[in-house]
Amino acid sequence: MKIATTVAAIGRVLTSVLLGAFFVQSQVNAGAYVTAGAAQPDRIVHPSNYTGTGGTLTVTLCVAPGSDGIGSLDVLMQNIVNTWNTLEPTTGNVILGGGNNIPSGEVDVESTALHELGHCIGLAHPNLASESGLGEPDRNYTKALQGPNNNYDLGIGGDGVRGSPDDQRGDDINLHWFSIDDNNPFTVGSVVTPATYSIDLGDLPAGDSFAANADINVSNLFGVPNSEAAMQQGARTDEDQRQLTADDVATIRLGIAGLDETQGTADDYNLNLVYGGVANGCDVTFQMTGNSFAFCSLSTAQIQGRHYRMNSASITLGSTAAFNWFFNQTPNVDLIFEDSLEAIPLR
Amino acid sequence: MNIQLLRWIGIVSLSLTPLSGLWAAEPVLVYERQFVLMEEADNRMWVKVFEDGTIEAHFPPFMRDAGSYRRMLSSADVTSLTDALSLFEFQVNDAARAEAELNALRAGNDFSIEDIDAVSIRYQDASGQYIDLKMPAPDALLSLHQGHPTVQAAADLDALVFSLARATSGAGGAP
Repeated sequence: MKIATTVAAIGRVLTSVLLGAFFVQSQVNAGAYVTAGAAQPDRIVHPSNYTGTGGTLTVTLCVAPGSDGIGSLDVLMQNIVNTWNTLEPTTGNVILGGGNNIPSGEVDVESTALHELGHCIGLAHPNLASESGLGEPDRNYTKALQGPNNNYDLGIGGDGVRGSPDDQRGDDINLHWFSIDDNNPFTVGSVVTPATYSIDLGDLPAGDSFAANADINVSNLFGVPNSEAAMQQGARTDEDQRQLTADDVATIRLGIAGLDETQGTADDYNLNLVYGGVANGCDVTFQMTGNSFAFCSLSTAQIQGRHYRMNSASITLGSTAAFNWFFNQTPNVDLIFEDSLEAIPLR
Repeated sequence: MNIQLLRWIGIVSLSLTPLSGLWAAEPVLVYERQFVLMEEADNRMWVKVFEDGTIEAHFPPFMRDAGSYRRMLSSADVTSLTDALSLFEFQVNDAARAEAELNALRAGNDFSIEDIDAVSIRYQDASGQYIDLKMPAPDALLSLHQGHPTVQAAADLDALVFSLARATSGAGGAP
């Protein structure tokens, strides 16, 4: 066996098989909704079980038997279910250090699981994130495709903040749904439909050059510091990010308008996530095992046109033997309107 | 990875174990996993295997084994690593079959794995040239492609490297 030839072959074939068949597919399919991409940038993805019939849409979440952390997960699982069901937009939802109950050096399971559950009900990162192949801090620019020049154009604009309304993105194709009214990801309108939210940069307010995302640095520009979308990729130790922002809520509500894309009609649904404890067979399975830090593995299937629903979804967080996880044991039923978490009035 | 060289490492590492303060400057294998969801300055776990049989491992602060460590590989470690690499090599060489199977799996669905860790492996071949490979974490790929032989072989190799690293932290030696 010629070692050099063999190793080169491994490199060539591995690149073809693993990068070509898996990773590139993942890059193309990133967007404000999971699996939206070049073929269908304006795709809207609904949670599991939605067929176009309105009413209560029940989606079950269970912990897989054999998962690490069983016995410490019930409260926080119920918390993330409550949070996504309530769809309460907040500001000041990033709570660091002494402001939270997380010991230094530990990572909050609840915050991490809230983010991954968002993916598993259809939401993608609002920012370019790791699937772009970019490093920090450029991952904080708003989610987009590379456009005809096959490169991300990353002009930071005069405000010096990535992901803000004055970013200069060249021919990048926006994937992030923004409010046509004000391009402010920290507020949400009373009506959220494709008539009031858009990915078409031609719909931006006068003076804006790109869709803004709810990054924590952008939150300062909009006067709501320490706010960041739960779906923004990027977590830290000793960070409590257990509540949603307007951007998270708006993206779910856009889907809730249903297949006719009109709010208040018969095909609208009420998202009803239900935590089923330790069990098999739920729509979304959660487990803690292995060496990966955290991911949501999913597939989607078409309902009609640009409307898709989750076809399979599972959340995996790394094992308790590998990572310094913190298991919150405080129920959140009374927390939503307390202290620094402030409900945002509808426009 | 130079498989013949690894076998050689397996033989010599036993005799070099008492001389663990001596190792070559250039590793023959570098494995790195970036935990992409974590925005910390140090969000990477890495492993380096040197020609003299030394292994070094680093874990970021949010991991149980946080810190940097080194030890000498045992002959059993090297045998395991060599076997995993051989199986991996066998599987990835059948690329056409693998691609066909994966295309069939994807038919009618759109798949994605959000926040998947990024893994890179750097080999030194027999001529001394380095080969750099990047892939999404194969253990996560298994969640969508359970039982696929190529993904499974990559995941087995990944798991082995991880376990060698954790054994290194257990040995307690700090570089």
